[in-house]
Amino acid sequence: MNSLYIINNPQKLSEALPFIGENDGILLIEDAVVLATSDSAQTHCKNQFALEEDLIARGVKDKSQASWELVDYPRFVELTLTFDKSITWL
Amino acid sequence: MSKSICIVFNKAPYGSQAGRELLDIALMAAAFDMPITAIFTGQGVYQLINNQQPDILNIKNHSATFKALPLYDIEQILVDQNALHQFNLSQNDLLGIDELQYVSADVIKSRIANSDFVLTL
Repeated sequence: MNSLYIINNPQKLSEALPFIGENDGILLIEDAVVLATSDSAQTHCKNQFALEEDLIARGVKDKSQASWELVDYPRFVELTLTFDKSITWL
Repeated sequence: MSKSICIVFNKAPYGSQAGRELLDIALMAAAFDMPITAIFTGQGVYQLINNQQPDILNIKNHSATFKALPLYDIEQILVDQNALHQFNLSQNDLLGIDELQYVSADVIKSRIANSDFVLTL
């Protein structure tokens, strides 16, 4: 089963990474979107997303890296349906 | 077959209610005969430290209840070896629960992948 890992705290991505498969998904939301603005958060995961509204709110959308696909809220909902389950890793 | 659930403890005790609340959820889920796995990773391994004394802070000691997990048929208790190592802890620092399994990240990874629900707090 493929899981969508929803991360809202920048410190938590590294904690969850050992359990994330390359075919799982990572979606950065809230404060965690800052990870999409630098290439420090490189992962082995093929499906990397960041919530566009949260980047815009923080004025850093233009700094987002190409390795993180920007998604809006409707696409966020779609992602939760695409993956078998969502895991909000708090 | 009822849905399986992984309950992931990743926070140290008493700084937040996460540990106690996840434990309550685990015991409730057990009442519904859901296959349950309790996973202790990150700072969550501190939930299992043996000589906790939160009464000094006027906080209830929920750690003793972890010993009850097997009584509720929650026998899949996975402890992340890397976390123990990272925090310089060893098995004899932890509560004496026979069902504790000291596992690698990959074991946890596959259990999470194959569970229907995965819960953190």
